[in-house]
Amino acid sequence: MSNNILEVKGLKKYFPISKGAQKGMFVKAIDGIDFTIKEGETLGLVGESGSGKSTTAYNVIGMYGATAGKMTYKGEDISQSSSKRSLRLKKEIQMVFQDPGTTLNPQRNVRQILTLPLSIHGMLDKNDPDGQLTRLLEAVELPAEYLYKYPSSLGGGERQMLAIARALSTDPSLIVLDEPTSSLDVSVQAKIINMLLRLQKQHNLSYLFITHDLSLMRNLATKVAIMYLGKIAEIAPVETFFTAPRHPYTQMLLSAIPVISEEEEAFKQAKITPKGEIPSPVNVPRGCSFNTRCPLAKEECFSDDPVMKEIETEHFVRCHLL
Amino acid sequence: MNNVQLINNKQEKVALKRDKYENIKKAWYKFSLNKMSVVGLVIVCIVIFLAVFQPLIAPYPEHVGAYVNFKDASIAPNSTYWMGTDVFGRDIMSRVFYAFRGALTMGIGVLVVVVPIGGILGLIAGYWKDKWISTTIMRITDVFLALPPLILALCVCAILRPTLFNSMMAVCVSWWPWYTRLVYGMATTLRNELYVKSAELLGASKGHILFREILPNCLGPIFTKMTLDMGWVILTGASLSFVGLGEQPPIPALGTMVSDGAKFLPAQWWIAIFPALAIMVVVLGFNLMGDGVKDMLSSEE
Amino acid sequence: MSDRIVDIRDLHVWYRTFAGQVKVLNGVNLNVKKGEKISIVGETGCGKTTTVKSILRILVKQASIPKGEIFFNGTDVLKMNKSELNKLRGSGVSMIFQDPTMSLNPVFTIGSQMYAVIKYSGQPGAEKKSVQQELAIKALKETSMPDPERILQSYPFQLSGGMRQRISIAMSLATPRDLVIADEPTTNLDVTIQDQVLKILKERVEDKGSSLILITHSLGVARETTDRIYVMYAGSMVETAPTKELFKKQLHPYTKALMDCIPKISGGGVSEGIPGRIPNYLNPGEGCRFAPRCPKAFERCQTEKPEYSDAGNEHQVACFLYY
Repeated sequence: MSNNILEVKGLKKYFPISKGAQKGMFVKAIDGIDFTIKEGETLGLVGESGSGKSTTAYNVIGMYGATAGKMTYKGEDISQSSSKRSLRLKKEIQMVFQDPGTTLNPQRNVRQILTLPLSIHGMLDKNDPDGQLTRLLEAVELPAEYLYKYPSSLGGGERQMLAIARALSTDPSLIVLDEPTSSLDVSVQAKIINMLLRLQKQHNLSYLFITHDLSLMRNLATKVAIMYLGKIAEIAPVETFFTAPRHPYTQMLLSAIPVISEEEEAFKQAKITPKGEIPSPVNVPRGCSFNTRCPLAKEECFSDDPVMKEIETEHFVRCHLL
Repeated sequence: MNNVQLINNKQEKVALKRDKYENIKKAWYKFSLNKMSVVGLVIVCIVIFLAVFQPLIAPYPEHVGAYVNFKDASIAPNSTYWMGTDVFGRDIMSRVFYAFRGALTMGIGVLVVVVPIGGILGLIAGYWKDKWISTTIMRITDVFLALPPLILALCVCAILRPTLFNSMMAVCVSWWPWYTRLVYGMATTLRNELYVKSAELLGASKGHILFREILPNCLGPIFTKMTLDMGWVILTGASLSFVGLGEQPPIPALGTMVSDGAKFLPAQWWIAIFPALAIMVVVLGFNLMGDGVKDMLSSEE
Repeated sequence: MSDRIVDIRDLHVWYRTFAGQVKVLNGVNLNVKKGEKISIVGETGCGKTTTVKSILRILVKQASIPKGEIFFNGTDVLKMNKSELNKLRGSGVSMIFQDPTMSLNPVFTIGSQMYAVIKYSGQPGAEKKSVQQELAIKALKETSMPDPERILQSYPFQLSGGMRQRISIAMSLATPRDLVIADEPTTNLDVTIQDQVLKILKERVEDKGSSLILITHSLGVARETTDRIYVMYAGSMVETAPTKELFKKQLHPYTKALMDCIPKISGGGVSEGIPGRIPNYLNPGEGCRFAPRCPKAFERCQTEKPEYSDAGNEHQVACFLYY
């Protein structure tokens, strides 16, 4: 029986606009979301730009403090930003960013990069630091000779593996991954995803995995949540999400994926062409935020914001049509 | 486990050496792409060599001190005295070589003080989240920026005795704000870099972030500026000694030699012109090097 | 071969660096027929961008072409003089970049940039402002841009990524072109916008009868947009076939491995990836560049470089398994 590692209720994150014509208004990056992650589980967060998925990740890891709502990690309140959080939390929750080129200091070599988290949390083996670091590198299939290399001499995939090694070094329970393989080639991505799955089993890790690649999500997540303009449109276990999605946005997104085989074509939802552009998160439309693009919008979609309903076990949808 | 450790140690030593060597080769390649920078480097090396080995190289090292020989006074450049002699019969070339020492000392002395102080202030001002810290530091910086170096040096040397040390101090007081500004600008940008934020999220201390994450990425512009500043500080030092501050006679200083010789232009032109050319050559050398240093430290592949 | 708009034969491109010559392209063979849409699919560093930049001769100055020929519409590109090259770049070929901030200058309005492109195309009457305006608005309308007049007055930063990319497409097709080259035009865009942009690109190219070279690392994108696919690895083409044929049957071990790596929407887990790294171009060795990573490599693969062999149905593969 696994318990909840992370519980998020009513999370909101607004950014004030300080200049320009829209001064005084807010960018509603996240506007009230709820989700939970169990031990050993992977929650996939999917959405287009402006949906708030990265902001959610940044809130969980503590780069931002929440504007409203509550997040708890193993019972401890983590709604504040990381500068106000305990050191223990910084050890337990780690993050892997999208572009390893910018998350690894180009002036620090592999050894220094990996030693940092270990020495901060007092986990460095003073008698055999090199041995410890080599074992860490081995866990992500990087050779020991890389210890003195700089990130610029590593390939994109290797840099990301280094970032993952860094995240693993403090023996965390929850890792937030924000599009970790989006900038990588498919073959490298496969290697990294395999490694992540293996490490998850070995260490019983929980992942909050963000990506826009739905095909990848299908093979990786336990549960998937799709976000649109700061709110979650649908959460479901992965099988249900892909075989029987109920929200029109989910269906639209699933129909737009480029696939490579007939078998997948048959699997895809029927093509739904979106109308219009994505509205700006400053001017969220009244009623359901999806009403500008939804081909099935009814009258009440323009006046009332729908609430999250559980339509079957663990399957929540936010839509008036149900 | 011991075996693994041994192998790792040997591998890492080899890897370290190989990487260091590679880095030096690469740095030189980038530097030497610009031919003029290499010229600048050669000039600077020659100047340093002349300054350091002056007693051994200069034809008349004793002319540096209190020496008079009116028989050989004001002789135009010839085979005995390549740059001629001044009104006291002293060989100008030997004195110029010696004066390089004062110039280089000035440059190095000022920078050694100014760069760490200015740099650290800039880092703190650029990184600290509290607005008032950065505002205080930067406003103080602005005040000092408004002080003209020469006037300040004049005041300092009027109050205290005019010596090389005092004029160096005066130049320091008016020079540090430039580095604070430079580093502040870079630190404010770099603090938003994801690797800095990653370090913060990992729980790194402020000291670590300032000196191990941000500072190493500022070194490029800092070193470039230092190279160019060598030239500027030397020029400032020469200006100070031109008006009689800085090193006092009989110790030769480039600026003093120019001002002494100015009276004898244009007839005994060599007394002023050679020291002036020396100043120009030194400053030029450092300026030319500056471009190469910038290329060398930039991270383009 | 007069129906070929582009014919690249055995192209070698080297870059001079401090460590020596980086031998990026190792004998590229590629051709595009008039009106054909092809895609070059390959991973980072395989040389796709270098190949197309060679057609326009916009490589960096450290690049050299020790061997090979490039023909555009029958003329040898490598022997063209300055004015012929200008004509090639002004009206023969247009290029859409992955990052629209590269083709759109942030300090000029969209309008002024489009007018400039039209003006230098050598079209009759293109020097007149009214003609430029007319063509610009027409091009924007064709890419489904709402409110073209307002767009012409806007600056690039005021528009979204998808819009900027559509404007790049409009700019490249505002005047008739023989060839459009699109270098990963949708990599930075959301899935739904990507879908839209590719559809527009495909339709406009077909309308004008131009040819298209699409560079992408996504086989899915290639499948939906182009008629023929070239698979590229470490500086040369390893396989080429019409799209349907390639997805039915992959011959080269690299193509097979690549297909396997792509996660499927129908489930089935993630493959192991391809072991090893791309070769070091400084000392790549004589044989097939994929040999170190190939599960089927044998002795001949290490010493000789395979050439194209015909496998029927316009399907060609460069692999010793097949000859």
